[in-house]
Amino acid sequence: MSERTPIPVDSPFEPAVRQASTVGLWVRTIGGPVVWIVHFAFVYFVAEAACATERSGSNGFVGSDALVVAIVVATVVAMAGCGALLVTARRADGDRVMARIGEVLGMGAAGATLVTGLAALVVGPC
Amino acid sequence: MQGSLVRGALDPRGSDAREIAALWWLLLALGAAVFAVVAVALFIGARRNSTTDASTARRWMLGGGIVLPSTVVAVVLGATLWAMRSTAEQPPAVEVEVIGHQWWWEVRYPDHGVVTANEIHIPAGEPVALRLQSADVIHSLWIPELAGKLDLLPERVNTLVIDASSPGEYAGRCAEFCGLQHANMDLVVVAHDAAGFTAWVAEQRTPAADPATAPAQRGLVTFLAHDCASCHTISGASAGGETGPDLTHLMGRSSIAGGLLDTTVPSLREWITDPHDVKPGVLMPAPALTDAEIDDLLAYLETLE
Amino acid sequence: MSFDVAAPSDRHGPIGEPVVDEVTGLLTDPTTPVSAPAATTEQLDRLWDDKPGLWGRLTAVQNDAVGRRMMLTGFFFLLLGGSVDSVVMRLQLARPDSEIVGPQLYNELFTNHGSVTMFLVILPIFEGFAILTLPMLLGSREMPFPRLGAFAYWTFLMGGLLYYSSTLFSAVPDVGWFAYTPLSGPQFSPDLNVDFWVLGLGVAEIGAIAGAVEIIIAVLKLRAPGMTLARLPLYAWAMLITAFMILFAFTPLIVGSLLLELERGFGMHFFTPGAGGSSLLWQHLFWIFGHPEVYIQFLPATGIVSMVLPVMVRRRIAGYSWMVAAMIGIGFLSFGLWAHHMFTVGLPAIVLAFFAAASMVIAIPAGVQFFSWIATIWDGQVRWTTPMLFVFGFMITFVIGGITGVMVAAVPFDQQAHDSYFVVGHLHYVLIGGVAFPIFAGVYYWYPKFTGRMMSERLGRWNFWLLFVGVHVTFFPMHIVGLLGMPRRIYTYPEDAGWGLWNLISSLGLLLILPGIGLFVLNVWWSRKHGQRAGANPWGADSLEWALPSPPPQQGWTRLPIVHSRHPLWDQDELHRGDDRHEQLAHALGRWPLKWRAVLVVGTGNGEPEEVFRVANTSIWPFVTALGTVGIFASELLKLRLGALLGAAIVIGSVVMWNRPSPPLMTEEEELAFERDHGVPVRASGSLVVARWGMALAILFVSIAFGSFLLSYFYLRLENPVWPPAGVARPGLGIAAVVVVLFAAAAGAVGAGRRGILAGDRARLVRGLAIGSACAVAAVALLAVDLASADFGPGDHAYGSIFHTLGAFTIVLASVAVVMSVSTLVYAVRGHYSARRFSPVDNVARFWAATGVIAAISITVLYGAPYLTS
Repeated sequence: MSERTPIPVDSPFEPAVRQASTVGLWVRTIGGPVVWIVHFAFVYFVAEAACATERSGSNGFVGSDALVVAIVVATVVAMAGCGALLVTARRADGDRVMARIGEVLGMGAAGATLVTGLAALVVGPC
Repeated sequence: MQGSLVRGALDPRGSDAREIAALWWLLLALGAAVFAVVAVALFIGARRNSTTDASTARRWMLGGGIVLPSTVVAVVLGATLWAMRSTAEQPPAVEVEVIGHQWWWEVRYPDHGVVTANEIHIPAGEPVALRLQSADVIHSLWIPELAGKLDLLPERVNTLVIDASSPGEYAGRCAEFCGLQHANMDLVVVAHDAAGFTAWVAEQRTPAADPATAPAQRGLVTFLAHDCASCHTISGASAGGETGPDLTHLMGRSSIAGGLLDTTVPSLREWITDPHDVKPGVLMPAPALTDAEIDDLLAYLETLE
Repeated sequence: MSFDVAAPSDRHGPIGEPVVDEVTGLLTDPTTPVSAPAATTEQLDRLWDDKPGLWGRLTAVQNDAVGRRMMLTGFFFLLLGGSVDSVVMRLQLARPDSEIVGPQLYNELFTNHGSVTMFLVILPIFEGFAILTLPMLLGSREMPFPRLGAFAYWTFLMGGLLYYSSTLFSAVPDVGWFAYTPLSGPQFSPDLNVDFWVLGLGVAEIGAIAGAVEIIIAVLKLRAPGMTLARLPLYAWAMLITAFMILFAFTPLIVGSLLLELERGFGMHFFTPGAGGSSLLWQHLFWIFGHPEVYIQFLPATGIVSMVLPVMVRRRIAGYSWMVAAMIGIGFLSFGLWAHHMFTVGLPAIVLAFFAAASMVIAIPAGVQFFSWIATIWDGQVRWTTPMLFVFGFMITFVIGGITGVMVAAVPFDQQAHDSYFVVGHLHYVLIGGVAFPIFAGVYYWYPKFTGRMMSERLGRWNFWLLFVGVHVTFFPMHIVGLLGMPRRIYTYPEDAGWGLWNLISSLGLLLILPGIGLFVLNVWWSRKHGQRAGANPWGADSLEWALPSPPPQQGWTRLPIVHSRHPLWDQDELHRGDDRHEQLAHALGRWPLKWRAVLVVGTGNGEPEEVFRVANTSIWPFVTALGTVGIFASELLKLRLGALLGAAIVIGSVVMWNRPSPPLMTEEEELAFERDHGVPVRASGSLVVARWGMALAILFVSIAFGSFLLSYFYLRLENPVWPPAGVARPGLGIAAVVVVLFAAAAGAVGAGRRGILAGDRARLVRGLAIGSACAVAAVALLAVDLASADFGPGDHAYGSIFHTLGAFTIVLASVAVVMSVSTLVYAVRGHYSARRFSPVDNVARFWAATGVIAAISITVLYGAPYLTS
């Protein structure tokens, strides 16, 4: 890593501070885990809704078949999301250490997404 | 209440508990192995005074940090999911409604017209479905030798399927904190052979006989006159209260007061004289009875075989 | 001066004399850079000092004072709740059928033990420690919002006292630290006991969130020049992640507690099955907090270990980036585990399956952390000092707790172990091994920094071994007795249960733990006067705080350090050399401005100077705000509704006073002169950058709270097949549409006002704020009238309760926004704000934007969801 980082982009006479945007940094670093937790929450709520449907009979939002489809689609989309993040993170230039952290987290998140999705499918609906 | 009842989760007597015990031994073996790896690595690492700059980090991080836990987790998760799949099978032979109360268990057999308390009688070797629900707060039914625990909720019915591989008695208790006397909310599961279960059902279906002796007859009058009947049912004796345990076959049960006392006449006397002294906070009010009335009442209760 | 050590042993490296040499040798180690004093030290000390006397104590905001108080109060509650309770409980359980305490007292004891240790001990100790040390560790002079820090302390203290005051009313909470409904509801706990639990701890929870906001911004923005994110000490990473977790975990709990109190005090139905409520909703809300809470306690502990261990083995931590990734991963995963506390409530199998999966997956990042420490030990040379002993005790004990943790994540096994003593054993291995031992290590390690003296090593060794052996003797048998069928939370057990021997052994373990803790207290007290003198860096450590004198001066850094390395004291010969711009800036900030407390803000990622701002000085208002807050809660406790209104008025008034603009002490020209010389904006009227972060986190907090309400709404919706209940008409949509439009107009008008002041046009600002406030008041009034005219009340059924509660939440949120925009309007009319000094306007505009979005979603759900049927 370079010991001397370049001079910041603030221009001293601007009234508003122009900060170097850190959005990209956040996305590259914790994008993977965010994808995982969104996937997790989605699968949980869909399952809760489907099983409430089964308990009460008529009050259905989500049927069992729809549940399985939803889990498969969500898992595939989430893993694709993790993959896309990894690819963009590789292309971006920035701090090497932070890139490494993002890479590890992205791969971990993909794995965790797969494991949670599979676990739900193996046990089956409700 | 017998010492022989204590065997715990690792001495399984039912299929669910057996499955769980097998899972436990796997978990223990894996856990011991992981602990051994970590402890050995720590102690060797601590004694090894490395003077070189060469780093073993990568090896450790990949081997210990990723491969070891991933493998263990994969095995454990696989075993867990396998055990979860195999628990739901076969239609039950008997259905029992178990209703949790602060701090006792109501046990009903809708197909047999039997109601009892703090005891679940089942035929051995057959799956029995326990339909669990609570009348007040959340309780949890735990019979370590037969099955894992399951909660009794006020808002929905949970089903726990148990079986006992051989006739015998298996201790159970409430495992979810449910208020003041959570500690004294025990029950016992009695597994009979097929004939024994049929006989038990038949016996339970018989209403209480009219008392034959004079003290017992006075005892029945006392029972009905002092509001006992507003909480307790004795079928055949026009007592139909539903707040407390059904007493029709009281003397046939091994214990009273949620497992706190054996069912003997002296302990019944102790209980009726002042239930709050025996079990502080119990919802049964202390009946205002003279000693003579208590004698009569006991004489009557003794007939409820 | 003797340095106490145990007998030498050549087996295990330098114990005995060599330790003395090494440690004392390092006191004068010429290779360790130290912070350079400046001629202005005395002036800066005076500037940064809190005022003397009682008034000074009440107005103190300095991070030293706040941090120290939080830690001491945390330790005080530990002795009260952690120790006394557990001694009595272990005495009671030592023998079967024992009658030392009855059921009521026993239930109070375990409720208190759990609640106090989870809410009032570990959290404030860690937050306090972070507030105390982060500025030194990061090369900054203060925390970003000193007044918020003071507020955090006061709410935490007053909440704890309110909770403990239940003893005076003989209404000690007795439903467990988890307070499951319906046991904790009005029907089964009609007395005040549960109210003390909900309200007392509620105040402390607010303090926890305030502290978290401080910590997040401190780590992200208030660092030395050159300290990039990748150079953050691991402890700072740990606290950053922990603080975010506090925000995400405590907020749902606060919402849950609010719903419980509405049910208890106002007759609403969220958790009552009979009226459409769900007892499980409470469990979800509680464990969404409760499980991350374990990791909220564990992560800072791993942060401490990651600081202490490398120093004690003289080796950089192995795999820094892995370590950071593991901690972030744990932070996220911990929010996917809450239902593993609910494996026995009868959740659908599919839900159990993926909660089990997530619970086990978290073992992988924990494994990464563990093996990073092992690799570091493997590559280094261990010095067996007391902090290192505690680190070892941590590793051995915690690994057992982690293994049993994976076991209870296996659903079927958990159905045996759940709520049995197995879990009690497991959680104490995690919390004592995984959290308490690192705290002890940290105290022994950092003590010399704050007192200038070392703690006694001889006492330290006794302290460690007594605790280590005692903890295992006490808690290991619990696993066995749990598998034998002993449930938790029972005040007695019969002799023939066969649990007597194991319980007796557990209780005897206390005979080791108690003297261990006694020696610790003795050591802390004794060493203050008699410990060996410590220099700046007695351990030869690598992180910045060890370059400061021990104890450090008030303002910490007279001259800011310049960081080129993750281990500045190991890699840098000089702390004040570096990039010319950095050097000049650090030098200038040592001498200028001496009339206000200046703090440097750096870029989040790159650590480049971004702003110099004036941090808030001493103030009584945080104390008054805390008093008002506790006043609201105490009045609710005593059912004095007028008192609650008074409390709310105090809170509003004191928050306005707290934030009122103070004279900037410097003209815009003076600011510009410094900017020209150093290329960094100066804000003597208060930070723009830090304020934006503060507002972003406030919005995040509000959004999480709103999300928790939405979760409750839809959970109740799923539990009720008929929604709204039969006989209740669906709400009309006309008024709802008007309200949404008015809220959008308000947000838009305030935004336009902000753009006006950015262009230097104060009239546009005034116009925008006035129009915005008017629209908002109209919207609030309309919504309130519509809610009040509903043909059902909040106490009728769960639908009515959540409908009115979510509506009221929207009204309260909008009212807060109105207070903000009106007070900003007042200041604007009086001539405050300019194109350079507009930070409050910026914040109001952002808050209004968020309020507009939240109100729109809220009203859509309230009025739209009843039309959503299958």
